[in-house]
Amino acid sequence: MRYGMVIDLSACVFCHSCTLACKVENGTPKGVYWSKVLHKELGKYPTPKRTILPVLCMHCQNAPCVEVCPTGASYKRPDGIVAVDYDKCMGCKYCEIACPYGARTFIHEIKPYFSEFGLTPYEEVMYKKHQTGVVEKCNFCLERVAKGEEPACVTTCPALARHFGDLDDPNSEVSRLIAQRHGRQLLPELGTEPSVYYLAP
Amino acid sequence: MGLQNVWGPLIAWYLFLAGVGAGAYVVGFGASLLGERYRPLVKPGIYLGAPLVAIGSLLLLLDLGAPIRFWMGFLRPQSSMISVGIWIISIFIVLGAIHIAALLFPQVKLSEKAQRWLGWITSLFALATAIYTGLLLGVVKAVPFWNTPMLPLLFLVSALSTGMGAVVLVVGLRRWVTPKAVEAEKEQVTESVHALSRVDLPFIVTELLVLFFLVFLMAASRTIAAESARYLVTGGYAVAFWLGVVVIGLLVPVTLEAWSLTRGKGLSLARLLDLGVVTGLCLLVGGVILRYAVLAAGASVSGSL
Repeated sequence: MRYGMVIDLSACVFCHSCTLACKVENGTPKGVYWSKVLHKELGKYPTPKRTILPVLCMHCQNAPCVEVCPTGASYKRPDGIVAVDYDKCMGCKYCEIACPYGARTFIHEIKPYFSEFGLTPYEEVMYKKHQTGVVEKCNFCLERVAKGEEPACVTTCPALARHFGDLDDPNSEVSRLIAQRHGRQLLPELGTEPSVYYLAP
Repeated sequence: MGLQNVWGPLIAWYLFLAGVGAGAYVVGFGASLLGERYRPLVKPGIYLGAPLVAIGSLLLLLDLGAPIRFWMGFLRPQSSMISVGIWIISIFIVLGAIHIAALLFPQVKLSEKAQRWLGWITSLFALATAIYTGLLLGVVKAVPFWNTPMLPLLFLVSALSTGMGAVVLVVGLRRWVTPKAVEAEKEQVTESVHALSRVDLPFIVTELLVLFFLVFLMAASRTIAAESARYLVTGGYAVAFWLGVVVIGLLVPVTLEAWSLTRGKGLSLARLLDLGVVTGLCLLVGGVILRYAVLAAGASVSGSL
C-alpha cells in the first residue's frame, strides 16, 4: 500500500480550487498553504510563456525531511504518507531546508484572517489543530483517507485533474495513468522518489 | 530566485561560535603540548572553548520554535545531522568545562596525565564540532551550493583560523589589563604570537583557495547553485562578501601576519600585540560574515520548480 497522486497538467485550468479546498479542509493558519499553484513567466515578448504547476507534499519514499528530522516528529507511515507529529517537533526547521519541493512551512504565529474581528467561529475550531513553533505540511488529508475518502483537493478539482490511489496496485487508476501517459516526478535526479506524479500538459 | 530564509542570523552566529570555540580549544590544548614556550596561549584557548560553544548552542535553542522540546533532540542520536551535532557539542561543552575547572580550581584534582588524556579527547570533539557545522549544511541536497565537500572543509579551516584569531585577540588585550604580567613573560608572549601567525598563514591561504574553488565551481555549475555564487560575487551580497569575508576576514589578516613575521624581532611587544588585536578582530568579523553569507546564499532547488 502506497498512497499517491497524479496531477494531469493538460486538464488543470489554473483555478486554485485545490489551494482553497485544502485551506477549508485543514483550516491552515493565515498565509500557510499546504497545497498551492506555482506560476512562472518565461521568455520575453513577443514569445512569452507561462507555466503552471500545482504542488503539495510529494510524500517521497526517500523523504529528505524524515531523514533530517532529529526528533522523529516527521515520519513515514506504512501507507506511504509522510506525516508530522507536532507534539514531537522542536521547530529546528531542518526539514523545511531539506525539502526540495518547498512543501513545508514553519508556523511563526497563528493569526486570524480578519484581525479587526478576531478569530472567526471557523478559525476557533480549526486553529485548535495547529501549533505555533512547529513545521507543517500536507498530509494527504489523512483523516479523510482513513474514512475511505479522497483528499479534499482531489474531490474538489473541477477539472478532474487530480487522481488519488494506491501506487503499489498496478491496476489502480493512478498506476494506469502513470504507465499510459508517462507520469513524471518532480526533480527525480535527487532520488527522493515522490509519490506525486505529473502528466504532461 | 529561491534563496532560503529559514535559517537566519541566530544560526549564522551559532555556526560561527561553535567554530571559534572549537578552534580556540584546539589552539589552547595544542599549545600546552608544545611546552612552556607557548604557555600564554594555553589558558585563553581553553577558557574560550566551551563557553563560546555554549553561547552558540544557546542561540540555536533560541532559534527553535519549541525550545522546551529541545531534549527530544537527544533521543535519536543517529537520526539526523542535528541530533549527531547536539551530542557532539554537548560532550565537548562538558569535557571543555571539566578542563577549565581543572585549570581554575585547585580542588579539582586531575593528574598531569589525566589532563592530557582529557585534552586529546576534548580536542577530538572540538574538531568534530567544527566539522559538524559544515556537514549540517553540507548534507542538504536541496541546496546544491552547500551540498559539496568543500563546505565542511571551508568551515573547518575557518573554525581553526578564527579560533587562532580569538586567542591572539585575548593575548593582545591582556596587555591592557595586566601589563606587568605580560611584560614579565615578554619572550614567551612574543614567541606565541609569532607562532600563531606562522600557523594561521597557511590556514588563511587554504581558506582563500577553498572559498575560491567553491564560488568558482558553483558559478560554473548548471544547478541553482550558480545563482548562489552570483548572489555572493556580483549580487545582493557582493559588498559583504568581498569587503567582509575576503578583504577584512582574509586579506587583511594574512597581510598583517606576514608583515609581523617579516619584521620579526624588530617589532616592539606593544606593537606586536596591537597588531594581534587587529588581526584577531578582522578574523572574527570575517568569520561571522562568512557564516551569514553562506547561509544567505543558500538557494534551494524548490525555487526552480
